[in-house]
Amino acid sequence: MKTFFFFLGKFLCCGGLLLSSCTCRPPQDSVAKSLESAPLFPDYEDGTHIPCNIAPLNFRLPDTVKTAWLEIRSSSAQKAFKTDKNVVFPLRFWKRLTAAARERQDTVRLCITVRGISGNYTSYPPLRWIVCPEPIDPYLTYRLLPSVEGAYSVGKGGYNVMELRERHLEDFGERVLLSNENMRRNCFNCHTSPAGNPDKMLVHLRRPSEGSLFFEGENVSKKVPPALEKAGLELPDSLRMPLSFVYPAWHPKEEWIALSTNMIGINGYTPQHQYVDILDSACNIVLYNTRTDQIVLDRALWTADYEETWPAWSPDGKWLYFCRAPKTSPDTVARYPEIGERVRHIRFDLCRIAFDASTGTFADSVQTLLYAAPGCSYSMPRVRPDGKGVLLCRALFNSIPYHALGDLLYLRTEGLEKQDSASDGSENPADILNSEESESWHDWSGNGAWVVFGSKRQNGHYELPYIAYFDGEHFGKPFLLPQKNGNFYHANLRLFNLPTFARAASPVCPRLAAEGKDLPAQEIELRLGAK
Amino acid sequence: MPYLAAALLLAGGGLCFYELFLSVGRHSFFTFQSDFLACFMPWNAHLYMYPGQPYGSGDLLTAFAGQFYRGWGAVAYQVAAGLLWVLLFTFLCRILWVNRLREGIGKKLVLWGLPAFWALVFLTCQVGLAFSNQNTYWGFKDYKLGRILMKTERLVMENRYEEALQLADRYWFSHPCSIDDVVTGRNSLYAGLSQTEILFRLDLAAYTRVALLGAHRLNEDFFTYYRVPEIYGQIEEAGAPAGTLISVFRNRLTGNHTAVYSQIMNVMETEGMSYFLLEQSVFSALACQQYGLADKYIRLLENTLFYRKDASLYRQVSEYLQHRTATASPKTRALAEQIKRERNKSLTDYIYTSGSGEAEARELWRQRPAASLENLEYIALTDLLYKRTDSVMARMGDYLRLSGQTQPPYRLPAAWQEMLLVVAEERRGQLPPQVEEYMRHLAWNNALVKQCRMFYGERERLRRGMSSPQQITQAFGHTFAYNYYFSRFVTPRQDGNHALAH
Repeated sequence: MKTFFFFLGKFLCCGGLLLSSCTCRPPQDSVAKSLESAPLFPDYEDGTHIPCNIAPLNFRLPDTVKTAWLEIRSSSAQKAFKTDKNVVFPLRFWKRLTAAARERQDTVRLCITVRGISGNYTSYPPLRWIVCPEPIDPYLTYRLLPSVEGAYSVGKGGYNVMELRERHLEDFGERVLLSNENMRRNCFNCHTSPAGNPDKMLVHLRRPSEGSLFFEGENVSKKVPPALEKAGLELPDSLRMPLSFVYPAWHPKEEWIALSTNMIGINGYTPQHQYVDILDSACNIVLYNTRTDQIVLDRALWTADYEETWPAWSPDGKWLYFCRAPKTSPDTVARYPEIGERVRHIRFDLCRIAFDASTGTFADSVQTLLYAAPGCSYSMPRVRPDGKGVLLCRALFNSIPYHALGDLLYLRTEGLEKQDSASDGSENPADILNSEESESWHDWSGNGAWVVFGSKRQNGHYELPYIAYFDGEHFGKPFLLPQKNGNFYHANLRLFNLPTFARAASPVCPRLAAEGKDLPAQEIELRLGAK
Repeated sequence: MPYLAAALLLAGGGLCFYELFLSVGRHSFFTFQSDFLACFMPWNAHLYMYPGQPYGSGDLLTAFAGQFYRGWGAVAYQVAAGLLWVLLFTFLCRILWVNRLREGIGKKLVLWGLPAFWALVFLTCQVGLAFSNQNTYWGFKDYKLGRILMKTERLVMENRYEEALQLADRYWFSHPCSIDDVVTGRNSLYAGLSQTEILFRLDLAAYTRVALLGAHRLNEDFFTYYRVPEIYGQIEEAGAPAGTLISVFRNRLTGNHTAVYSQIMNVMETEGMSYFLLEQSVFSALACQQYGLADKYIRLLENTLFYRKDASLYRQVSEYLQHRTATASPKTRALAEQIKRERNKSLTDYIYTSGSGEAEARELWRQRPAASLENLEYIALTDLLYKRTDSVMARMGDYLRLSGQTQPPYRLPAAWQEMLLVVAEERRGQLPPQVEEYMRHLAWNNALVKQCRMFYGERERLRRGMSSPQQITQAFGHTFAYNYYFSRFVTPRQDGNHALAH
């Protein structure tokens, strides 16, 4: 019996070896060597930096490929296999492949040989993916929007499905956090959590505007800012502006939230790239104290002369970065009566103002870091967790860069205290992230080594999430968020809007959001700043 | 028993097929099939996924489920589930019969009674279903209206505007509102109509307007619909349930292609995936030089059964337009030329989407003056309705050029000829020299001239109290002159769908 099993084992081994030699190696003599890199989709280029804990970089080869032979190896694992044009790496094997990189930087080397439908064999130069030891935050949340005219106008027919989803970056798990199907088709905007902490989240309900949902653990409450007329504040008419929460930024200590109060309007589009369907007006910044449940109107940021928007805190909480533009003058309105034309002449500076968290007051003076210029308007500052730099958008006009061919710009903030302003004229380390289309909605991972941003580079229309490495000086080549099926983005008809990192899974679920929507709104107290 | 099962299966299958055939409506049967088959392809699965479900394992199963959640799928699911129950119980009866009730009264009961009972249950369910969805079952009035609407929509989609008009007119001219309604501006028609028919009329009116535009008869025949308040009273699609889809067709005609592919996505968000519309998106994306977007949609079409060929043609056209490949086939070149012509109509600058087709058409005209005959006709009609005669006269040269009339005698639409007669009467012959020149070389429709004279006679009689508003409306309601002197064009934003105040 033993002998039988011995021979059976040998037979199976030989058979397996024979089989593997048949399947894992194309005939060497008839393979043409290509000088061009392998045509992968998504384009995971040679030299791309990837995190050690990212999900497998599955991809798809062109439709002209019938069979592909792959050899992939790192210092901790290797494998050779035969596949069709849809290349899927087993999750367990991928974990082994990237295991060594958790200690030190490693390289994954991938050799691809293909047989086309015409029967020709082609071998491509090896691809190297640099696996970095810095892990990426394990979760990514994003809004999935339909690619429709006025994606946010869910009132139009009331059928647009808008969802907030959470993707586990270490595998392909994805779940719905919020869906407007459970919320009677409300539009909800910019979900924000304090520095990647998913236990707290703020989401505004719009159209109809019903207030903001505050999620804290598994609790939810609905808050609504009061009308300025009712609050009984003594303000000159010029400062009596509408108060609505739009873009929030949580202070690192989580006691304060800076909120912009934009009036967002207009719908329209241009022939090709510049989809102008949002214009900011009457925007200011207010402070919301989560402990005392009060809104503070600080005169430094509640002004009649400027539009202030896009608040962002420095990691130490001592500075509030924001963007501002002079209020549109009657002359400008007279010169450009068409709102679509006027919006092109509104440009925002990048500013910051000192903040004292103990008293909740801002300094008197605003420091302008970058001055707007023709064809150059700044928006969406996001400070790196080490506080040494700001990643922001530079667009042609307006404060909505994803409609105006926005590009990303990295500004070093060290030593800026001694300067009046900075300059973006010098080299921009974020140039490697930019394309001919719009890049925007960026966010830093908790360790500051990774940045995620939305880009329309695929086709100028569908915004997709890209991830890139940053070593403190230089950014790596960006790569598209990997999906289980390499064909996913070809078939996808949704926009990935506002991708943000999270350190852990969120406790929010559609049921909780639906409950929150039905809660009575609590009106927040309003007071003027101390000055 | 096997015969019963087979009979039920056949009946159920037939019913399923019938349901499927009814649901074709919007497109042709085969394009619907293509959409249907495409949803079973695993790579398309997430497109058909019921919103809220995560991507990942079980894509194919979810695709099935997603398909069953809407439209005919829901009906097919119900029928199939009913059939399954019948089969299951029949099978149980069979087992019971073989094992326990082989002899005696039980045998007859099982053989005839139980299957008959379940067949009755099944039939009752179907009848109940039929009554709850009257518009989808043969024999009901709503069903007939639905068929008219679906056919008109399909004909408009396929650019068969004349046929669409014939079909729509059969309904309109057999269901006019009363002359009293036209005179008083009231709408007593809706009092006797079901909600379904009211919505049907709004949709059919919107399709009719697009068909008139596509057939270049908007300025020729528009006023003949004076007894159809849904058409005569407004030029916008506001209120029509299929408004966005109709805007797609209108914008396709006027050349506003940026709006076309945006609005198509809006329609698909509401109605579900349509590969026919996706193909329209490819055309519009190429017209706007959005090659990346066109490539994305072409790739999706390539995965379908019936659009694969078209997708391949569009891919060649895209290549040709980008790189001017020398080996392009005549078919490729012809389509590329068509797309290039569309580019001359398309936007050059920002356009504000106010939700008003008229405002967009005017903005398009400002950016691309005299680029599209359809756009000109659309704007000219709104000018006629607002009685802006100078504006229409200023567009005459463009009209002649766009309609290819370089030599006299010139031919103008009926409404324009009437307008010239009315303006000549009003201004006692003091017309711009260029217009006078056109009038001298115009191929006048003598019947219209005669009709206009008679109208002025009748108007005089009305003024003297020798005629009634009903009489003049009956005789001349279909003319521009009547509209000019007695009607007030009401925009949807002002008074909804109620029109014709005097």
